Amino acid sequence: MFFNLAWRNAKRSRSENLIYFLTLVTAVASFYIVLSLGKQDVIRFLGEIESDAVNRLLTTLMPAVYLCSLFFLFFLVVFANKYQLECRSRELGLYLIFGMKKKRLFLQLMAEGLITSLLALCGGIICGVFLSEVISLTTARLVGQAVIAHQPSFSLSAVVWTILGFLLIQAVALFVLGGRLFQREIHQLLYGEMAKKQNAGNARGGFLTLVLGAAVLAIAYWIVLKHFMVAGGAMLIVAVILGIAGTLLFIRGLARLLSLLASSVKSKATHGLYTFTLRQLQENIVHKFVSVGVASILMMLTIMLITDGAVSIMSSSSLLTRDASVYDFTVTGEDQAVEQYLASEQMKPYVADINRMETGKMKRAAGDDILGSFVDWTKLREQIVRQLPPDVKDPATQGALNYDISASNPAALNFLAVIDTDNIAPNLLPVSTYNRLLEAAGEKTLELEANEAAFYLNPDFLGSAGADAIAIMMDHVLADAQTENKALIFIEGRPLYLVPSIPMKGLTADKNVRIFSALIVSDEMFDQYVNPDTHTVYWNFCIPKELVETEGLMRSIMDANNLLKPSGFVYESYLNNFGRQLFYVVSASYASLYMGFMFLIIACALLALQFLTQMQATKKRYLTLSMLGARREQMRKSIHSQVLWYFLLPLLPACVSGTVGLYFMQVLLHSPTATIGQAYPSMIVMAVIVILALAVYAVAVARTADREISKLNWKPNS
Amino acid sequence: MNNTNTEKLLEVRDLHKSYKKEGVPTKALNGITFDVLPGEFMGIMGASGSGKTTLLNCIATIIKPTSGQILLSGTNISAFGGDELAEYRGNKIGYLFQDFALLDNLTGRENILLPLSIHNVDVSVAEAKLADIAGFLGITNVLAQFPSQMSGGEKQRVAAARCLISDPTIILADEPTGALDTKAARLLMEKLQEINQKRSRTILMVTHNPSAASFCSRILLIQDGIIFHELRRRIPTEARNDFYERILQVMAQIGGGSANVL
Repeated sequence: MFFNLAWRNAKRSRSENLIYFLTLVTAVASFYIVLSLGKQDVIRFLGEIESDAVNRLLTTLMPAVYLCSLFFLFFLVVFANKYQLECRSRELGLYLIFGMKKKRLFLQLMAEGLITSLLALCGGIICGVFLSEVISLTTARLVGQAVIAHQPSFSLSAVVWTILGFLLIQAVALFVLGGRLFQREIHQLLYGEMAKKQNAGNARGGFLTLVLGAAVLAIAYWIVLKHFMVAGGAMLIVAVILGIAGTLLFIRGLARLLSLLASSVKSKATHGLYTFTLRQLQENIVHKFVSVGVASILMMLTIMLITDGAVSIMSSSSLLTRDASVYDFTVTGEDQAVEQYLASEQMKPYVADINRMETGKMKRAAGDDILGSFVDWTKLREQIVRQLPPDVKDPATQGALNYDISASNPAALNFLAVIDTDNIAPNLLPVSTYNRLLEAAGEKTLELEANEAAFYLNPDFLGSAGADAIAIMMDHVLADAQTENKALIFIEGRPLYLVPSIPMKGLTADKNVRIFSALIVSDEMFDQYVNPDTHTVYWNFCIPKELVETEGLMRSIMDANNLLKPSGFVYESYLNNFGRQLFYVVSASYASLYMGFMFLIIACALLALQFLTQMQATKKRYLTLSMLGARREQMRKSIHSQVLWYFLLPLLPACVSGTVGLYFMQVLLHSPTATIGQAYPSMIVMAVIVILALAVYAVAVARTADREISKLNWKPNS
Repeated sequence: MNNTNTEKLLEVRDLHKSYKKEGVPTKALNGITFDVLPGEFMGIMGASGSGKTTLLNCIATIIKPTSGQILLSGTNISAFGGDELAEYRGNKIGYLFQDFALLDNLTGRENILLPLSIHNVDVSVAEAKLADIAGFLGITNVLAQFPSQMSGGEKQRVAAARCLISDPTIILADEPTGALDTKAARLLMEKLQEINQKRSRTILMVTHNPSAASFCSRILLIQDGIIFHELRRRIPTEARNDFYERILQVMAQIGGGSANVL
């Protein structure tokens, strides 16, 4: 009997309150996704490359995210259950009046909660497994399917922890809410709370609250944008507090403004349910302005986190592509020993396109040459300065000591900065070395005369600052000089003609070798001018293409890695670099996107449940409207308007605050504007997803509200 | 008010209403027939469960009768649905609820204008009507207040103003004094009488209170879903107190009623 009643009630709760059930399913799916992260392809891959960092991520950061999720989802579950219990308040009152003991009723509620929870767990885990698989495949595709072999991401431990975590928060939520519910008088359960006094306040007060809220928000924005580092960053905390207070005041003031709108727009006073709709909206927001404010803040965090996640992925896409990277391994050590080891039988199958790459800084001049350098860059600088836009001056003429390289700079300014970095002792590369690199990359080799050189820019390091734009500009300048047979640089007074249009490739697989730019010179000139103290040899090689096709790049590199380990040489693989970059990208974007979407779902569920709770409390008004002749369509339209604005009003301040927050993050993280620009497509996709999530919840709320008013006993024979 | 117009405004013909409670049929109305003439102030009295509220709800289209006909100005309202129903509820009837049914998030003014808003009546026409009715019912001072700031009597007069503003053909009142104290109830009944006599509105009122009923010109007494007695006030010769005494006598015969004097 007890079980039957609990089963029946749980079934009814699910069918009548789909939002409640879907919210629980969402909570479960969220748990599973974060807990099964270790099983995802990208994290598995990173575990092999960067095992320490990944272990740290999985053992410290993920439990923190899990606990954080537990905390936020607890409130979500509390709201969901609160709404559910409010809907059933009368029924619970009746149980008590019929003599059911509170203890038994509490047990029944817990039993119902358990049944619903178990079903939500089933649904949520299935959804979670599916979503986790989709995320795993998507990220693997983003990173490169050839690198990462897909494996199912199902995790039994994630299922266990999901069940434990969810049942825990569900039990605590029901315990807290049940306790509060049974403290009420039976009369209150049967007939609801006494009608809240309408407190619309005066219009002037409402306007002042709105202005005050806007002013407090403006101060918060001002601190964030201009003075966030004051007092060691403590001002940021002040800004956050002001932001929260400002949002709450603004929302409250906005609700009062709705009251003003309802009472002052005389021309619309008898325009359908205009006044009624505004009053409903105003009441919803005035009574629940804290919840609406919190939803607004969560939406703002969603905007910031999701954009940050999207920008992280997009800004790192250049790091994750092999466009410029040629070699799979770079080895350094005693020259002959390395050569022998790489030529050994065990290494042979893994070595192709071997390149002994020499490099070094140019010697310093001992005499009175310009700033102790053999190189005179004056002519080249003059030509580049001519390429500057009219409104940009050469910083050297403005007394600046150094240049900044930035994606927002004109290409010519960045080129000046590149030259300025190593102008006294530029890096030198012998042309034979670079030609072997070009051969490995399948490009045409260079032929340099004794009085010729090529200017090399490393695309691995200048990608974000627009290496392509600099190369185009440089080629233009060099091509002009070549046509005019004009030398742009001089070494010890002798002209050196720069050859344009050479392909730029990454020099080594090891990105710790940070050569931004170099002069590619004839081998003789290299030997003549290289500083022996800086002369370095890097042994680069690729994994043979045939092996990659049969074994896959990851497997082959891992095998070669294992063979190099006992050699004692210092070596670095493409995957090590790739993995390290990927680790930062993945951990930052996963955490941002996960938290962003979780905040979004909590905000939506919060608004949805608040609206429906209020709807439940005021649904008799629709019966009165019907008795006064309102058509169903009019009421439906009114409800839809209420839902639309109930979701839009918190979104408006969230968008403004989110934009300020994004700007702040851009400044703080030095994320270049061009990167943000590159991220627009993914930001638009994310925005569409956010809008879709809001729309799904809003439609679900509107439909539930429609169904609620349909249940009212206003029509004949109902 | 003496009625000289014999054309029937409301005709109720052999009205039946049955409910099924856990499979057992229960007859709330068992063949009720009566007419209401234009300008009448008719009361329907009966003990609890006699079927009086069911009858009013059938006329108000809140519930649908099992069989029988209800005709307003010759039109069968039982067949109404959708827009016709909305038109009927909005323009033909005014419903005065026992619990006022004011929307507590709207001001008095907004509550009264609501029926006109629903039908998109021009705002200047609506404002003129509002000023007239509010003045007549003495509620001008509470128009800007919310229901929670009003007394019970003020709420019911605001509700009455909301009834009147759409110029309904008939006002249906369900125990309008049920939630009021004696003084407020008397004031309301006097206003309803004025509405009936000075503004020529037809009123059909359900009450179990003989004092409230004594303001009516005709009373139907219902028991077990049928009309078992009809009382007519000899207007203008019969004073309200005499009519009240007669109501009490009839109620004493059937063993019910209350002796509240308004």
